[in-house]
Amino acid sequence: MSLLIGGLALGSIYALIALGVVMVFRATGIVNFAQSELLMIGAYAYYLASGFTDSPIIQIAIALGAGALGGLVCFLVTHFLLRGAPEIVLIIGTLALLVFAQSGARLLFTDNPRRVEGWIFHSADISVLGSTVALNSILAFIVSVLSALALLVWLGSTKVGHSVQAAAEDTWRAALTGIHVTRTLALSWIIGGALAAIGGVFLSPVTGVYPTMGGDIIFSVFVVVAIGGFRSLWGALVGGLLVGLLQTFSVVVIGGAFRDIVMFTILLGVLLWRPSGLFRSASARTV
Amino acid sequence: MTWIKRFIVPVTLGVAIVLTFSASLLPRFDLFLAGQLALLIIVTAALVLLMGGAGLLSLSSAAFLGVGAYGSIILVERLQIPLLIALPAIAVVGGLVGWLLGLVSLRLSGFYLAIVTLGFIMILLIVMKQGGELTGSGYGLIAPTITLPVLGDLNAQSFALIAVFLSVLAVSGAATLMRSRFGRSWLALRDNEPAALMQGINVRGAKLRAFALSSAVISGAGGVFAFLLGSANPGSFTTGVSIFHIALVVVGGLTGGLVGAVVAPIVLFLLPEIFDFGEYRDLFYAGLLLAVLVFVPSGISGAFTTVTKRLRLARRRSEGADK
Amino acid sequence: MRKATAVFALALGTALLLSGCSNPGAPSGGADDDPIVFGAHTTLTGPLAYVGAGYSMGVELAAKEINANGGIDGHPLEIKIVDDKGTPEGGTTAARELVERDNVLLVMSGGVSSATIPNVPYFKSNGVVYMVSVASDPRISEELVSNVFVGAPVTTAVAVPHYADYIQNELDAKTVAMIVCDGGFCTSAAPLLQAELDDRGIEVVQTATFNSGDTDFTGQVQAIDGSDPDVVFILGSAADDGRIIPQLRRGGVDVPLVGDITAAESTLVEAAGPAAEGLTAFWIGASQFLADDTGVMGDWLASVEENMPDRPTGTPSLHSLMGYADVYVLAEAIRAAGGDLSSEAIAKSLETNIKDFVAGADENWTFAEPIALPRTFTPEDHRGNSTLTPLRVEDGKFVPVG
Repeated sequence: MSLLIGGLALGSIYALIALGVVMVFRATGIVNFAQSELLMIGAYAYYLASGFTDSPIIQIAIALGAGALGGLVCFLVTHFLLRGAPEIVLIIGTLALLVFAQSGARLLFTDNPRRVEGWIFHSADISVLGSTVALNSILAFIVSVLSALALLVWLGSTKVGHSVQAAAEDTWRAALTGIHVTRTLALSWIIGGALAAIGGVFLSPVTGVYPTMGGDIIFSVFVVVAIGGFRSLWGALVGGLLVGLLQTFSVVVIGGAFRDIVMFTILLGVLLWRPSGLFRSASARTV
Repeated sequence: MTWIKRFIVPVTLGVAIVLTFSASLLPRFDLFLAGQLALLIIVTAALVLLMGGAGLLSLSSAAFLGVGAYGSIILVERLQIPLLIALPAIAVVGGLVGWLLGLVSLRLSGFYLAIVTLGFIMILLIVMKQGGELTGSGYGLIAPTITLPVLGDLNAQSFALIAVFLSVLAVSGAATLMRSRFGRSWLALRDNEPAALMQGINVRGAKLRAFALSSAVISGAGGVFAFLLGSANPGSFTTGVSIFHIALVVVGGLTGGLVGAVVAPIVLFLLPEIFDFGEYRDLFYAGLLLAVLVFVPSGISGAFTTVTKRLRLARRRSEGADK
Repeated sequence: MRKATAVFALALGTALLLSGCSNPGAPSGGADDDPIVFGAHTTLTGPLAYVGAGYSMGVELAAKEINANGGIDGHPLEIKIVDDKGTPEGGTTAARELVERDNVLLVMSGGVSSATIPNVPYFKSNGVVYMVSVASDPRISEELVSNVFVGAPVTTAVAVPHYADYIQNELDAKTVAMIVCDGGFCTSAAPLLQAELDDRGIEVVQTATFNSGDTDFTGQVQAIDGSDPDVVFILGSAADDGRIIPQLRRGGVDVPLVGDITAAESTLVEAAGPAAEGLTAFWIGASQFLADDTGVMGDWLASVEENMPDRPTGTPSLHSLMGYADVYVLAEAIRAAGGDLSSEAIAKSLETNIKDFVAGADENWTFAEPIALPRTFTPEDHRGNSTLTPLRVEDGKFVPVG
């Protein structure tokens, strides 16, 4: 039972970052290697915020703000500075951002992990069906699923959401219909950053806050995106949970050290066999 | 200019000998740095072929360095193979593994390829750390001392000289290759893959060759690296190192030219060493990388080519004006 | 082709020019008041930078105290600290820089094992005294080298029997579960510990592995809980342990937890919170635990406050204690060698004159705080420290067991 909840909690954090990766990819065609650094930035913001306020609302607001800001910076770099560059240059650009973020954090905060309490519930545990589970884990799962659902609903029903969808599917036509494309693209990045920051808030009580906390999980996030499909938001959510469960259960079977080998095999298999992922996505119809 | 092309082999050997000789006059510590620099130049040259030439992005370069480093020590120490055979052997092994990675690249490209190569290096790190006694139980392996019949024990300085010598060969070889039929097929595939296919270029073969060759060269460099440093340790072959290699190639220039392959390591490696950038080194190279991507995307090689073209044009114009 | 050659020649020319700019550095320890220069390489940058921060603070404090009291036999002591970046390249570069460019009298290693190990063959060939203060890889001392010494660290090979003894005698355990990280000090210690426990008739019922930096240990916790051990032994960094311990407790594992020498850190107790109660760790830093501010440790901490007000955050640490003590060990060896400052003499002096040496307790160094653990070197054994103190967490603090 605790395996189940542990896996779901871990997976929900992967899902949050994966959602950001997918959103950005749909909008811009860029896979952001630095996406999980936004998780780290959100985590540090949360750490700093909990240093001077006890209000959960302010804490999460500051973390979200930091993540959103980080996303905006990524947008500015990739959309304006690297405009029109070939794919290989864009990938490298995001790699540069990754190094920048990590070394910046290292300079500011050193590599010592900082301790933070779980959001709202601190270190409280709860007993579920015989096993003791951290409330933080349950909250992580609930919040991620709610965020993902909220995102999907928003995209599907509001005007702004529709314009983001449209810009993601076909930038040119979207511009024709009067949608301010640049602004909506920026929105995708910003939302992605905010989502990653939420992940940071929930991950940091478990691991402490340290500069490479994002880099440590980026590979798992990519496995999620590969499985879920690079263009599918549902895929990111379900894929995230799946991978989290898979990792947790495989540790029992084959041991933690070789977990990444399992991940890599899955990644390779999915990419070679079903590059569009295991989920159908609502992507543009090719005319 | 053309006479160099005809006598490329003796010219290369000549330059290599001269440079190695002058390097041997360096103070011991500086020679050690020069050796590390030379190996970085070799890695950059190989990656220029892969990335600048064929346009394929790989995050596995540090992994191949590791394969070469661990492999050469294992071959020499456990299997008692002489170094002269072990180094080419590990290069061949690296090339084979690279060829396999190349097979993957046939199906994937761009981001997907980058992610798979990222996974590959993570796997290799696991192998290095969990390989038990064979890989030094996570602490790494110590390189044995090589004793040659006449020259005695080889120390770090000897390997630094070997590295310098090989770097000249590598740069020259890479430059020649880029000008050859192979190089042209790579450039064609990089710039426009569908068009290259239509022109009848064997794109499959070109990709596989690019991967195999660059991996072989990097593995060979890894072999020398292990003996220069005296050890092979997982800490030297992380993802961060691969990203640094990419930065070297980008700053050097993604055009397929080799000038940058020489200058970039000097800027990104030697400068921070000499002036002791300390913690700011990562920020420095990330910042430089971004700056190059934004302002000078063709890197140092590109800038160099532009400058020499302009000079040549100016010279021709003035010659024409005289007439 | 011409371009490439031209640029390469240019490159080498530049390198030669730059190399001309580096001066060989003044030789050390010649005339009467010439400074004695120790070289020290430590990990000042990268993920393990806290090692270097603590270590350099410790050696600087020792040098300050020594110089305030007449230096070593009248010679002022200088310690040149170089960053080894925690990597093998950094370590070898740093060592070479100290020996070949700065011409130091001897070299101390305050860096991690991966930055230290590659240097052993180098020092073996050049004969300069190499005192290893932090790295614990057993291969450093595996082969007896005349000029290589291990001061403060207790190598895995020496520590493991202590762990096994503790598990057997103090905890009366019949079955043990291990959780092992992927770092060198973990993967090399695990089989040794297994062997020691086997010898004592204690069964290792489960060995769970993880990667340093992992966040979720549900799987490992499940496996360990299922194997029903009497004791759980944790091999990992303090940061890893801080994450694992709460998850173990939450997972229902309530048997005694034992950590290795890396677990004896206050940061672990902070990170793990109440779950750390009852945890045993092994302390090799000093005669008292670092956070204990009574007695001589209290005096030492006060001295740190006073003499090193600008020290980096997080110091003093275990590594400060290691560096502090080893500087005095070397100083004493030099003093006892009389006027002879050759490497052979210093090495010989270490082997002959350092027996149960504690600066502060020794008549020549009374101004130091006697917090160090006794050092003994012999011509057959260059490992100076073999004292491990088990500590247990009580009320959020580490206290001595028993």
